[in-house]
Amino acid sequence: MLLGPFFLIMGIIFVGGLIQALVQSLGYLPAFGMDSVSLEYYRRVLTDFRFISSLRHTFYIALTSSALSVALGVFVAFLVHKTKRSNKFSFTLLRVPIVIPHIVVIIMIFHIFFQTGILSRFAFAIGLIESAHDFPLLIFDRGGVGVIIVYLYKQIPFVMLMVISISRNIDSKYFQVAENLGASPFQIMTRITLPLLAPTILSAFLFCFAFGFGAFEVPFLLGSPARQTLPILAFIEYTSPVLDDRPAAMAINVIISVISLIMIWVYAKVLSILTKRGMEGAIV
Amino acid sequence: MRKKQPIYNALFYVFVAISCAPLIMLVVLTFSTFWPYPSLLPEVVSLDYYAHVFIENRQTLMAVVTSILLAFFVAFVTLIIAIPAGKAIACYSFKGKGFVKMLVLVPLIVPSVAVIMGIHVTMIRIGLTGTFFGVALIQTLFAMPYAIRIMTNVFEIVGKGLEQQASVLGAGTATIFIKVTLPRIMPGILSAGVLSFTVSIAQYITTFIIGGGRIITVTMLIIPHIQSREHHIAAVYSILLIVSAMISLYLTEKIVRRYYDMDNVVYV
Repeated sequence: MLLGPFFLIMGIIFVGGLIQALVQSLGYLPAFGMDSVSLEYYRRVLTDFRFISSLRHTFYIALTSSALSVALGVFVAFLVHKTKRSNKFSFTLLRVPIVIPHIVVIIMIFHIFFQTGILSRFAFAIGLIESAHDFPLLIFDRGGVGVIIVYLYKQIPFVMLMVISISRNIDSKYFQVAENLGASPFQIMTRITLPLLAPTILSAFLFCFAFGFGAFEVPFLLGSPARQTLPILAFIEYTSPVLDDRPAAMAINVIISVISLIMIWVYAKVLSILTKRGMEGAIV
Repeated sequence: MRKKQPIYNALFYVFVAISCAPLIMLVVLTFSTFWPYPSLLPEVVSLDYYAHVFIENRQTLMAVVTSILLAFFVAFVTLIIAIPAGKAIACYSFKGKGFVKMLVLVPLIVPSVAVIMGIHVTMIRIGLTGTFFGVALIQTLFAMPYAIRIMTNVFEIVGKGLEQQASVLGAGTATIFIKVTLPRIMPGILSAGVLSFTVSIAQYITTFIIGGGRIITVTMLIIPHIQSREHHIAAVYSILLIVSAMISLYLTEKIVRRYYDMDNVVYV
């Protein structure tokens, strides 16, 4: 079977990893002499205020960054379409952020947005602020602005590219017919373009959301120490010298995995509804 | 409509500038030895940080070699998995195809931290932690979704018509793959390979946990420098990482293009 190698890797590493996490989260770690099974660690995690605030913060970061990425990404795709620059060198420059690793983006964003960064220096030069401390705290801040900016920088071109590659395949006859029948540009936008792009926009949203939800490096290096995302909380528990913290780390991992799997399930459901509706629209 | 055109153009270039300006910042950082607060430009410019990275640090060269080798190996293994998988999803109908399509995306969506910590104990037990192969195996998992997605698109465009013709004319499976399929899917293989390569060189937490500090990639050298606020040195490493990755990918593309005429094939 052609899918054999894929199932092998998925089965051994991915499913294996999640099962291991599940087993350990129940407190079963024979290597450390812990061999009783209980839901104690889930109770501990779910009643911990750090977990609750971290869950809220993670959702906030993921939702804000993905919503903004998708909105701006679609907008940039629209600009590329209007300016007809998709074959020019400037379009290549627009895609630069896709290939730059996140940790490199972290360095760049830090020196632009930090209180002693280049923006703050400009603000000082034109007399907007009187010292570095007057510049708003955008890195290590509780609002996660620095983290979100890194995601936006990486994801806007990504969303744009997804949208453009799909819209190239849309039959231009749809637009001509609609125009001939007297549709306004607004009607064409809401009745034809957006419904045809909806599945792509949904996928883009899912990818961005999942990244914001599960990424480690960015909130680890630019986030506020007082507001940690769930993967970092799990990592802190995991690397803690207290052995009892390890099942708690795994419980957090199981919870974030379950949330992600629910996300994929919802995505599949919504996608099938969208494509069905798209088909009917195309027939009518 | 006409009136709005200049606005669209201007906005387009604003986004181009936003994409590129941070890179200029990165380059300036590597040279600025002394840059006190309110000044807009560095006051002392030197090659000190480059000297530190290239001459005073013997780990550097080894890390570059490890990063690039690891990335090539991950791209290779990922392609071995992605080419047949893409073919299966694109060209054949089978039970549970919708499920498999979703399954392919799963490693992208479930946070990598959760999977890595889970598999860590097993990896220790079978002795794969701290090994090149162990790290590569895990990175492959996270490169797979991208590569399979691209290969699926490629096979959807290429189809299997030509292969069937070759088969009718009496060509064997291996001959068909090398002479018919491969030349047609080569551009897709290249872009899937490039994506897997970039996924690998950017990985940090995978290399950190599974590599156990024994597999030192450039990314592994960058993070401690960011944590200790030695951003200038981290910036030099970043440039080194980007440049060495670009050179490797450029050379690969050159070599592939020498053997395959890429202009005649559909590019995804």
